[in-house]
Amino acid sequence: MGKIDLLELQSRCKRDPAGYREDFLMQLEHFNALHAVFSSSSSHVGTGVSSSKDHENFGDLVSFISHVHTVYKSESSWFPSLLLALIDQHFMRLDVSLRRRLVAALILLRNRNCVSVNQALPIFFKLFRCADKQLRALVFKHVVADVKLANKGKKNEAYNRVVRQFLRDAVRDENPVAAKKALAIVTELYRRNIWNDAKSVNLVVEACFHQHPKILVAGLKFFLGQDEAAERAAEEGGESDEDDDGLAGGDKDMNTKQGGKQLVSKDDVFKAYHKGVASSKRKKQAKLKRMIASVRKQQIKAEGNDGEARFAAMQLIDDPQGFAEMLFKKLKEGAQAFETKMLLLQVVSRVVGLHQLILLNFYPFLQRYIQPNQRDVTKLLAAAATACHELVPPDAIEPLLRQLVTQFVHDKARPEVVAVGINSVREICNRTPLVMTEDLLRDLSQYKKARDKPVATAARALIALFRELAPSLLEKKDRGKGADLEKSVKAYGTKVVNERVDGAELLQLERIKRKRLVAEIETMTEFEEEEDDDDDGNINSNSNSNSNSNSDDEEEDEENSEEVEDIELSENELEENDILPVKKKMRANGKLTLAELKRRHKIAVLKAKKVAEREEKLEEEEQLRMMEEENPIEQEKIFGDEDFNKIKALRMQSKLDENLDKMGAKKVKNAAETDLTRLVMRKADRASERRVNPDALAAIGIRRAHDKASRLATVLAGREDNEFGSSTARRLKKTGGASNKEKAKKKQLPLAARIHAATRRRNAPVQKGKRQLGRFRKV
Amino acid sequence: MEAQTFFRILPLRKRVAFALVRTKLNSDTLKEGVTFMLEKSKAKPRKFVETVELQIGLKNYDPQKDKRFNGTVVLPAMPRPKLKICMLGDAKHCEEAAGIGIDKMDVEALKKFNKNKKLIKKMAKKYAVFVASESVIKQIPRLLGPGLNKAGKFPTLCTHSESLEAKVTDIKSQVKFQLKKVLCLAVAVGNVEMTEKELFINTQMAVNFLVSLLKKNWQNVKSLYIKTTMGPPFRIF
Repeated sequence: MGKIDLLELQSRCKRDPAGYREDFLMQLEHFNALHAVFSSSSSHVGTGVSSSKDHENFGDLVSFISHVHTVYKSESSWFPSLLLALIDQHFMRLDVSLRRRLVAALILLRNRNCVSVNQALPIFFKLFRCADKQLRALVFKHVVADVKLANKGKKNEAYNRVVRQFLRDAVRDENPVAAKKALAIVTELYRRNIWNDAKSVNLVVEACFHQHPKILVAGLKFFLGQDEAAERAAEEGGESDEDDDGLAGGDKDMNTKQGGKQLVSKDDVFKAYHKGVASSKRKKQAKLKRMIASVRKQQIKAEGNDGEARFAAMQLIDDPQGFAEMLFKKLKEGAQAFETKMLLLQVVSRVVGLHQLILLNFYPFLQRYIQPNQRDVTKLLAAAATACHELVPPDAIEPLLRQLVTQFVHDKARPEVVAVGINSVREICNRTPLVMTEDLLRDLSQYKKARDKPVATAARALIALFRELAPSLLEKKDRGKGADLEKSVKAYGTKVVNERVDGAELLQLERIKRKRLVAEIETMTEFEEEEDDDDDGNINSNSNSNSNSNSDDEEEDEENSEEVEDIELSENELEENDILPVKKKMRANGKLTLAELKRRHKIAVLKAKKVAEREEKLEEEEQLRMMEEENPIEQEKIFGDEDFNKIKALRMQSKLDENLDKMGAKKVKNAAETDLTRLVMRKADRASERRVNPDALAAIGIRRAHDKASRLATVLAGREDNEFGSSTARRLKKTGGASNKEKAKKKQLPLAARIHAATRRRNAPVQKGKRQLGRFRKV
Repeated sequence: MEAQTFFRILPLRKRVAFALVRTKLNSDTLKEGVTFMLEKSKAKPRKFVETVELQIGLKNYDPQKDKRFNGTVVLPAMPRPKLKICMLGDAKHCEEAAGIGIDKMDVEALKKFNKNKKLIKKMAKKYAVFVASESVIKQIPRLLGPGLNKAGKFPTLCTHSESLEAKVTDIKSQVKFQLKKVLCLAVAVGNVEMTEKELFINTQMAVNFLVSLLKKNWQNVKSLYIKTTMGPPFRIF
């Protein structure tokens, strides 16, 4: 029976099983006969004997029976086991196309659940050893799909356990191809979020122990790929976030509420736009915008939405210390290719940084590679920085840092090298600030005046980091306004312990303020009620005196006897503050000079300001005192969501306030609150959980050399509106013989003259600005 | 009125669910729980001082994707007075430790371990917390290797300027919240010898701190239980 007939019969059998039963039985007998011939021939002499025609017939029959097997279950109950045995025994010797058909039939039976996983899987894993790429791809696809189907809806743990056991054996398989395929199944399942638990990650860890370097590389790539994928996802997510709430826009946007918490109060916006001197207004607005953006960025980071916090796979490793040590051992043996070594380095440093492992030999090992002419040096430096964390004793990292500085940061080095060096120093210090010494930091920060922009940027970033960590290490001029000199890096081994819930004191302070305000208003209203009757008569006199005191700028020359008295009074009070130089006070006619008047006015204003400041300070102290008297608020009540939202808003507010203060609008506040908020932000973003992105270390701001295409494009663009055309075109168009210049070029000179010209050309100095470009630039 | 009729139409199960929409822990329930717990432990006294434990179940939190939080807070009343502490100190600190009666080890003793993993592990198991003086703590990774780190017991620093006794009391009243691979955690918030008021305040403080660590605050809390070591659990949220 031909293939077409079999297909016809297959569809009929499915439609009317009872009617075509006889035909099916006939085919079954036919199959049995063929199978007998086939197995005898193949067991004796191998597949070579039976012709390709037979193979095709046999394959057709197998696929026919497997298709209709569900319909005639009772008649062909023996068929699945027969097929399994057939593949199991002969899979190495079978004809390639026949093998594929048999496997396809088996997959069909497995999909219809006529074969159990326990039976099918060992055969599938055996098949990975065949030298047949298409077959392996087929089986790979099927296994992944099978696991996906089994875990659809709810996780099927019993099933997963079986499959995992097979996979565990398979990744240990000596045959590298089979092991690699098994590993590929695990990683594919992880990538598709079907198996995202610790067990599958630890399967990959086991695969890394495999002898064969290819398996190791695949495993390492799995761990590194996780990071990159997460960063990419975060980038996309971050962008969409920006679109959602374009806070950077106008004043209307600034008030948008984000998740119920207010970022900036209306008051701030009003101040920024309507108060202050006209000249500084625009600056203030710009500053406020910038500040809002930076505070928001920090907030996003603190909430862990930046994706760098997503590190799932590596977090799930059962024994990170053992894993890191094993990989490091492989690295030290050093029999791998450079790329593999690089991967090993990256994974080891990432695991060490993430789990805060102690692997002290790793740093001296890295030190060997820290040289400007090292291949992939930015990746290496990034790995070195990633491996640093706060539990490493500073003296373990110190030689590495010294090597880095001596090799990269010196006056003879190329600017991009210096920039990369300083950037790496910054990243290391971000993780382990204790390694930095005052001398080194001051040396490095001098590069902020460097002529090359990337170097200056890098040095400034380093300064900014230490302004936050330990301003006292910096030179005075670098510390910035309102630096807290008390603050220093915490000693090695100190643990962060909270005395209170973060930000609870802000909430408490807020509550006290409100209470006092309410009390004040109450007393005022009482007072007003009493005074109500007397007020009416006094209005006139009051307004008079007000206008006098306010308008002394304008009335400089009109000496008002009252005013003079006023000023003199204030001067008496202010004796000790009298810092302004005293000149001639009186005119000949006994009246005060203009300069003297101005001076006195200035003193008065100063005094008023001082009094206001003092009052404010007193008020603050009073509030703090009250807070200390009270019990901590978090012991009094249970915070609800609204309290936490309030805390978040207050924290944001205080950060902003503090920045506005530093901007110079108000006096510099005592930095108690500021430290707290920064601390909160810093703590939330534990640096060692992130990896260092090699791109971030690269020199920023060096203009990239044009590639050929873009150069050509500019050339062509230039030509378009050149009315004279290119010189070649002109020359070609030209009629009337050669010019003198051309003649001079073509002139036959004696050999000695030609040699002289050639040597002169060869020894001509290289044009400036054609420096070596290379690995330090962002590509 | 409308709301009431709407309420009546609902099947009983849903009605209960509606009534139980909670936004935060209720302090009355907490009080009730503390009393219940103490009563139970008094009814059947044990031969040791039972610890009061706060058990927390989280929800809407994926420990693989979201940041794993980690925080330590000082509770107003000391929850675990019998915490075993070991001082890894220099001569002066060792003397002080002997004075207040906590175990001590000097650098020589640490060197004797000779980086033997088993011995170090055994020592790490023996104590709950380690304290080290400034000169010793820097050597610890070199002397002991990763053993203490693995156990999550890297020592805390104690300088000569602060008194060791104060440090020890401080450590005994600290509790640490650390989310690991699973969505539940438990901390000690007191013991049955404390008064009801102290227990109440401690629990409140612990809950407030925990919730402040969570990304979505109360929306991440699935359940809260308090229980004594041997007593029945009481659900407070």
